[in-house]
Amino acid sequence: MRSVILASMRTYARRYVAALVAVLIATGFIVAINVLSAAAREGANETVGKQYRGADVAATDANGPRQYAQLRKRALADPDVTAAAVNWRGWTEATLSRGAQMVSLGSVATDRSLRWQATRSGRLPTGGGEIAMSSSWARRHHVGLNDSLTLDIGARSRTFTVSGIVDDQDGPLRSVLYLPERAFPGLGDVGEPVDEVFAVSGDPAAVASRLDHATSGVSVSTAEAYERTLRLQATNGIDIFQKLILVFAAISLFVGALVIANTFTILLAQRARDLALLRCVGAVRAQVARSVVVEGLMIGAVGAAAGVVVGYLVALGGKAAIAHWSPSTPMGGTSLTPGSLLLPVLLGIVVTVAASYVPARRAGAQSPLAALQPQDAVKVRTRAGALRLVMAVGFLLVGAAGLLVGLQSVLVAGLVGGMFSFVGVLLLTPVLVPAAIRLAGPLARRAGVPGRLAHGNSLRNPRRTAATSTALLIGVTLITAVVVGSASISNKVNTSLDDNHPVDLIAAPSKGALPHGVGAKLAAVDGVSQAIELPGIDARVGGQEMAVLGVDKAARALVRGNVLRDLGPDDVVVSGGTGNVAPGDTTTVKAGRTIHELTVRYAAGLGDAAIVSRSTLDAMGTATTPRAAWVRATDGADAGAVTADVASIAKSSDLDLTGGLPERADILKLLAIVLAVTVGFLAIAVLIALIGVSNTLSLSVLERVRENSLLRALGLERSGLRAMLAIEALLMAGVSAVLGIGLGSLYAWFGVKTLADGIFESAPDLTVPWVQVGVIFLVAAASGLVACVLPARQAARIAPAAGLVAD
Amino acid sequence: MTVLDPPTTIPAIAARATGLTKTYGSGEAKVHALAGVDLTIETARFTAIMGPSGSGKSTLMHCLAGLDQATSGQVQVGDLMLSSLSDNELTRFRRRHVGFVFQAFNLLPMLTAKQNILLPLDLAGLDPDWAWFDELIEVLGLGERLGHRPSQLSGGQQQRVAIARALMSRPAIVFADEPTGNLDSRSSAEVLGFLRRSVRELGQTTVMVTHEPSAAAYADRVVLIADGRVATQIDNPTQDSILDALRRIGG
Ligand SMILES: Nc1ncnc2c1ncn2[C@@H]1O[C@H](COP(=O)(O)OP(=O)(O)O)[C@@H](O)[C@H]1O
Ligand SMILES: [Mg+2]
Repeated sequence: MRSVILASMRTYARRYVAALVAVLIATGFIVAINVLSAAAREGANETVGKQYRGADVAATDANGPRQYAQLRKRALADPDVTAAAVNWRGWTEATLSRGAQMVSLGSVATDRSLRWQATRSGRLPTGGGEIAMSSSWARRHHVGLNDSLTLDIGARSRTFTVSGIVDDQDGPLRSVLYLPERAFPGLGDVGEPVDEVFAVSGDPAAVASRLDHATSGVSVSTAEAYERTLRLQATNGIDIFQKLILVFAAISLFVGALVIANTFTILLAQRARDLALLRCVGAVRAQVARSVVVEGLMIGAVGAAAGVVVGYLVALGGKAAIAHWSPSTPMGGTSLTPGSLLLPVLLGIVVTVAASYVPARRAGAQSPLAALQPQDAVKVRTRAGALRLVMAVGFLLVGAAGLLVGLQSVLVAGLVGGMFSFVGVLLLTPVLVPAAIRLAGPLARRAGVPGRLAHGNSLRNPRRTAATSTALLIGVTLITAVVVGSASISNKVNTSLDDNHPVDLIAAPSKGALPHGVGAKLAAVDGVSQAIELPGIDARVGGQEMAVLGVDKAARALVRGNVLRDLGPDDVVVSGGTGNVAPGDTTTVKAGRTIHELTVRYAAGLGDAAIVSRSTLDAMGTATTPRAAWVRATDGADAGAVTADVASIAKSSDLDLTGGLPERADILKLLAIVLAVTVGFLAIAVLIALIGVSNTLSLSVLERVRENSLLRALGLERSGLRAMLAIEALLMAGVSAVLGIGLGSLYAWFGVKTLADGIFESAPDLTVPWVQVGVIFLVAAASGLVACVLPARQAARIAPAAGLVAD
Repeated sequence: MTVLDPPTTIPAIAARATGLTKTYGSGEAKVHALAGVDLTIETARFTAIMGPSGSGKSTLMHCLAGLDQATSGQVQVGDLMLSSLSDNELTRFRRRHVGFVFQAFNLLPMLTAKQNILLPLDLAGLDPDWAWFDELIEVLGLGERLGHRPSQLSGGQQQRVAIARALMSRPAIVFADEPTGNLDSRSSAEVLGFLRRSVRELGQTTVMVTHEPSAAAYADRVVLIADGRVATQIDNPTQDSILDALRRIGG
């Protein structure tokens, strides 16, 4: 039997390509993701480790500097403790030539063995007037060694001399400026201690437990354990991200399995006579089935091995890209552990073998007589068997149950449900696709004789049609689900950001009027597109004292989203937490001598003041003063820089600063990453689907050399034959595209509801990006057409006589 | 020799069919391919099954060879009742006791001539008898062609490879369904001559389905089938006696 397997694999090598590529892509994807996220995690770990380099024991959660000082005294009394240092963090304002700027402060340990900063030039600060700064900040603000720098400390300013420039080092203690540890207690409430670290000569665990017992309210542990908790905080994001990507990986494996199963089905239908002859001369069912499974095993092994190599190369490329585009992201080495290597290979092989199992069984059950019939009589069963229907219904029911359970945010159930139900749909394709094609009949008949022939052809053998459509159906469903799903989620993210943070930044005094000129100052900040001062008045709203602001057209234009769009003259907007008025109630607003009955509306993110339309405010009296400044940042501006600049202006004018700009920026950045991953995933899906389509179409054309030759012999022109095959391809592609788009949207709905539960307050609605969906349809139809060009040319070139005797 | 069962278990009757019927389809479209066939095939004889197209020759052969299950009736080959066998047992039975030569598509296209010849033994996991292999190759004149694939062989050569494969496991019976249907007259004579030699010189029981009287004349006995029944049998036939008999059942 081995010689048969080897010989047929050699002979039909070209036909295995699709299956091979499917395995390769699926395993490669997993390997690349694994390697990259492991590198990211390692990078995050390293950063934590670097900042606690000399520490053996760490203490945290102490109640203020005093308790840390006590702990230090007690620790240094312990003969095993050789050094101690408190890590400080703080924020203050630095005066620069361009104006003031908020900066972060960190500490340099007094004891050399506990210092973690790496100097690039100069030395670390030790004396009272010395300071070090990170190299990137120094470069950006043109500050050099020995320059002086003025910081805002409490109510005074103090001047420091730059003694050293240090490397930027990511991690929990990363700061822009570094002062000696000793300097912090004299800085008032500018800085506060984060934790305390100790170098130890003996067993760290013993020292940690001694110290832990000796102090109450402070948790002391080994530095190793402490770093682990810090690391978890740092890498949580990466782990969540990896989970999301592994969901994609699971889907891509599943799709790979479907493509493989489909390829095998077609491959074996091609070889039906070979297999039947094998049965004639004495191969038992199990032998035939086993030979097919062995083929699957070999394809799985080769594809998975190639996938590991390709995936690793992609990961290397990805790491290089990250290093180039985002140098501050810490990345560890891209090492391959035996586990991260074996698991995908094993998965690839298992999936391939499993996917070949059903076609293999079917091949084994082939009657030996099939070899003796003329080829046309070798019919793949034309009616969807009852068993198939029962199975399809079973899969659909289980799948539906899984999807419904998934809606309770059980991701795994949703995933499995999606897979089961999709298999159910695929089992139904021999019924579904021909039915849909029948509907498209009138369209095809317009194209004359070739059209009629094509329509008939695609209906004559439902199984063949279904097998061909399946590849495309898989691809289109997947792509639609991803496109619609990500559009829905990103739309939801944007609207919920707009609802919760309609204004980027709000600067307002805790009481009274805005100082003169704040609006102009804010508008001048780099990255601010608009800054508006809002007039207001003190009033009683529903019995509570608060400022009432009036918004005019310009202010409404600055607000994101729709919260203020239909604010009428009789409405008043308050934040949800104010007073005891409910939305829809009427409330009394007393301002000066005027009394207004206004309808209450809630909105978040607009500050503490109540908001009415400008005309309503004007009706409340003339004694209005500017009460708040609303700022809108330019889209794409560096949110951190804009916020820092606005914050320093607010601080200098003694204003409170609120607003969702930093959060919005963070979330949008994350969303952009997720979308980028999705697009990459999409490209892979398109690739798998295209390969599947061209493979199945070319096989189904080659399968019919004889009957095509007969048509030619009977007088169908070469161009007519080509047209017939093209129309057939278009019919199948169009029908699969329509079905796939419908199915994909349905899956997107389930996916979005399942994934988004717990992230958003209310589940997002389905957003269908019609343009993209239209493009999907066109691409699907075009790919069907393109995939049939080559085989159609080939079929048309065969001389009728040659084709008729072909076996 | 494990390939061949001891000859004592094969009596003078190599195969027997009793009351064999086979129907296809149902209702209006019901076809009685075999309508009660009683037949014995004698050991070490060359039997030809003849009849008009559609008379049930191939169906009869498939039932006798264990390729197909009869609707009713019994088939006995050697001392085995085929209807009592499972699919796997039937397959093993074919592998050990039956050799096939078909009209076309005899050989797996991706295997060489040699691999095709050894395929049944390969499937059974048995070592070939190389002396027997060499003898067959020699007699059939295939020495030069062993490394070729079917597409590189002429029709006559392909049929000779098929005969070598059929004989390689020293089967109890060789079945040939129109083995010369696709061949020119010279190749036909060669193939038929070899089938007859294997009966005469090796005692190989052989059953051949054909609709050519000239081919049937090579046989020791001709069984004429008409409308799914045995119409008549002719021992030591000549072309003339066959044509006579055909005219009688035809008119
Ligand atoms: N698989 C089948 N399904 C339906 N009818 C069949 C099938 N095989 C053979 N028949 C019918 O059975 C009859 C006998 O066929 P067959 O044994 O092939 O005839 P022969 O070989 O003598 O030409 C014919 O009428 C044929 O149409
Ligand atoms: Mg026949």
